[in-house]
Amino acid sequence: MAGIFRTFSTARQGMLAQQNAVNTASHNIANANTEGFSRQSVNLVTTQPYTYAGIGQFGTGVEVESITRTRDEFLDGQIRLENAMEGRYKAEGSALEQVETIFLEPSETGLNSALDDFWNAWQELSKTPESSSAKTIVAHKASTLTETANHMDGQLETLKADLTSLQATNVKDANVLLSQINDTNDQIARIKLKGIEPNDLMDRRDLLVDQLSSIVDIKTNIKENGSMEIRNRETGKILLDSNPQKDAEVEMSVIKTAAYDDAAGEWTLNIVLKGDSTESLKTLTLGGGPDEFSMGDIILTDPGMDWENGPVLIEKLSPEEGGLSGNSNSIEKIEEYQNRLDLLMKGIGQGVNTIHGETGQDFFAISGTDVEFTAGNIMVNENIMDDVNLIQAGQALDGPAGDGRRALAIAELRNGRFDIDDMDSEIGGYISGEMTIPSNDEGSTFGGFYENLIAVIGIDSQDSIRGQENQEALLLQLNQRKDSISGVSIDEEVANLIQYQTAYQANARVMETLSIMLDTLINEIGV
Amino acid sequence: MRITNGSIMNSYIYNLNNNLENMQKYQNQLSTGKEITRPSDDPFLATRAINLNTSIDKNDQYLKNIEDSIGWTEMTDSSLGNITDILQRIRELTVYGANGTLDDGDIEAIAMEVGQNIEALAQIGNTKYDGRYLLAGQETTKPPFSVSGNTISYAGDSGQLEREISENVTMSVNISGDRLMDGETESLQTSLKNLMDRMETGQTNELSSDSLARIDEHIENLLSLRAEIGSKYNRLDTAKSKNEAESLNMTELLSKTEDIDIAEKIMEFSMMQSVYQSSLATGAKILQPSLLDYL
Repeated sequence: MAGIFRTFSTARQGMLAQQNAVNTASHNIANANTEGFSRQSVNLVTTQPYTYAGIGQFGTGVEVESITRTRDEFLDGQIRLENAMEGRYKAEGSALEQVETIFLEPSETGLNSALDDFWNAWQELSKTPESSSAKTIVAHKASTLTETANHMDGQLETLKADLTSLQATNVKDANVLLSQINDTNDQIARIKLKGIEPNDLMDRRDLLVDQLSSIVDIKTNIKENGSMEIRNRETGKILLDSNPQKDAEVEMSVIKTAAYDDAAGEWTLNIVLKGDSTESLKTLTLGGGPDEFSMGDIILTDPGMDWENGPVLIEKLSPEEGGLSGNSNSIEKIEEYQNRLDLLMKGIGQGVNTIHGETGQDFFAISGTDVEFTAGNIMVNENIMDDVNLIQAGQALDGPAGDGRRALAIAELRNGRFDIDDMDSEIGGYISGEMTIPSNDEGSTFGGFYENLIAVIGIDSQDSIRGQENQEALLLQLNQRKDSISGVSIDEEVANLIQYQTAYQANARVMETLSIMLDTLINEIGV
Repeated sequence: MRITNGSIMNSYIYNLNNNLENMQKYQNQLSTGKEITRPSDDPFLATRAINLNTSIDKNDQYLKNIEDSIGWTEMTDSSLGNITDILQRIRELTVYGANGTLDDGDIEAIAMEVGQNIEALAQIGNTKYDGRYLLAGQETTKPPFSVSGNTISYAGDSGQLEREISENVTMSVNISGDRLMDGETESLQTSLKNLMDRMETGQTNELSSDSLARIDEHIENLLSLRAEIGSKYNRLDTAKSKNEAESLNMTELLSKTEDIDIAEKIMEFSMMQSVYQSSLATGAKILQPSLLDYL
């Protein structure tokens, strides 16, 4: 038979269990708005029954078996993958938006209108070759053109440097997150040893991993001891070892500049170690291997590396997704745009110089020590800026004052089609008597070449904006699903609260009943 | 599906944000009047707008070239007209001079007038347009005609002044002075010098037998030069109409490419505005209550 005191114990356990459930509901409500929190639930089970021979089993009450968090880890993996894609699109989108601002097209002030003005100035000169004011206008429109190109090139260089700094900041964040995850791994493993689910710590770790996933594409693997191993998703390169007791095996760093010496077969890399820009740059010379390095690339280095003497472990990490990949891609794209802009200005420089330089001086010159025209180095010959009468409008040097045919030939370069990728061979076909570089039907005009560049920039930028929008919509849905599983519903918790409160009251009533029973027993039967 | 307060909030904020972004897009378009402000808005439209802007700009330059050239040819035509008039007067004077009944004083007066007309001819031959000698070939900075004694001479060259009047189409707009001087039989210089010499020495027979015919040849030459300049003018005039029609076309196309349809945009904007307002209104209703409000 179950004694009164045993029943007391059952009621007490009942009250305790309900109180625990209330506590958990309260914890859920308190964390309803906590980022990364998953709702927890108390799992109640009956305690071991008491077997009474001949009668059967008497229940002995309730106990809290475990407190678990409600989480779908498969969904976590999906969200992290999409996070990484969103991170890439976001980084690309913000860089390309700045590129669009630098090119400033369509507008009345971009390179295109400077180019239009430049050709028109030669047209005007062809009509009034006697006039030194027409020559002054040619010189000034030309220098507006070169300065616009120089300025754009400078802005693109600055943007690349900014992106490299941003890359360093992202790497620093990733390193911090990895070390925090490592610490959390340690704590989780210790608690797991005791057979307890460290729900809140696991939530915290998942949140850190979510944050990491928008910087770099990762895959995670939870080991038996509960700690998490993190690898780069695409390459499988290990970013965080699952043994939290050990120091990290790798750390991420960013390449600020990279130069390859063909003769020596060596790379010279300037490295922002661990992405920490406050530290001085590390310089590293590396024999040529399969990896090619460029500005903004991520490398994995050994934390215990001896920078002065080597030997060194150095490996390039090329993430496919995430902000790091977005920044690298953007730098690569900007270099492609710069290359096209260089070709355009080189084409114009060589074209004009071929015609103008035949009798007179070169019209365009290169600043600095470069040997080829680029958007950054092209300038109007200083002698011409000093004395505009050096501009040759006529076919013959010192020919009749009213001859504007050379100026007209230069103005007509605007309509010519050339293979601008290979202007060297185009100017090889120069016909001196006609003052023309033969048009190449398979080529494009200078204006067309530039339009094409703007189209490429527009399409690249549009792609990243659309990608970003799609990812946002997709992530909203995935997060809704995650929230429907792990999120706290206040209504639900309040309903639970009422249910537990009622149960708590009922248990208390059982105690009251038992107390009355005892009172009867003691006071009315006793002496 | 289990819906939590957080998920309602998140989707609400996401949608509200989208609505605001759309409002901003329309607002931008309405305030700039342009469909696109950056290439990524529509790469195709953007490059088309750049292309059209350049083509219009190029066409404007050709129009300037054409208009300058029209001025040049008009001025050339009127100079050639004046020169023809002078030659006509010289012809008349030659007819008087060929009359054998004139006395010495009369013939001297006629010769003097012929001399003055030759001076005038050189003066008109040195007409400038926009500060440049019109009939000097490419030697536009030096006066091409000069008279010394009875001899008129030309110091310009036979250079052509080429103008681009539309893409890859160039034409010469000038008549160089040497073509005025050339004659079917002999140069204008020789004809006028002979004429003066014959008047001064009273060779009336030669005046009527030779000089008159030579002057006629030169007048004929001038008429054909005027016809040539007239055809240049016509060609320029046609090019001008074509240029203006093209510019009009391209400007319209550019406007269709990049300008917004204001009525349509305002409609879209107000639709977006009511969507935004209703999302605000539902948000205010749905976000507030929870079970707690009813306990």
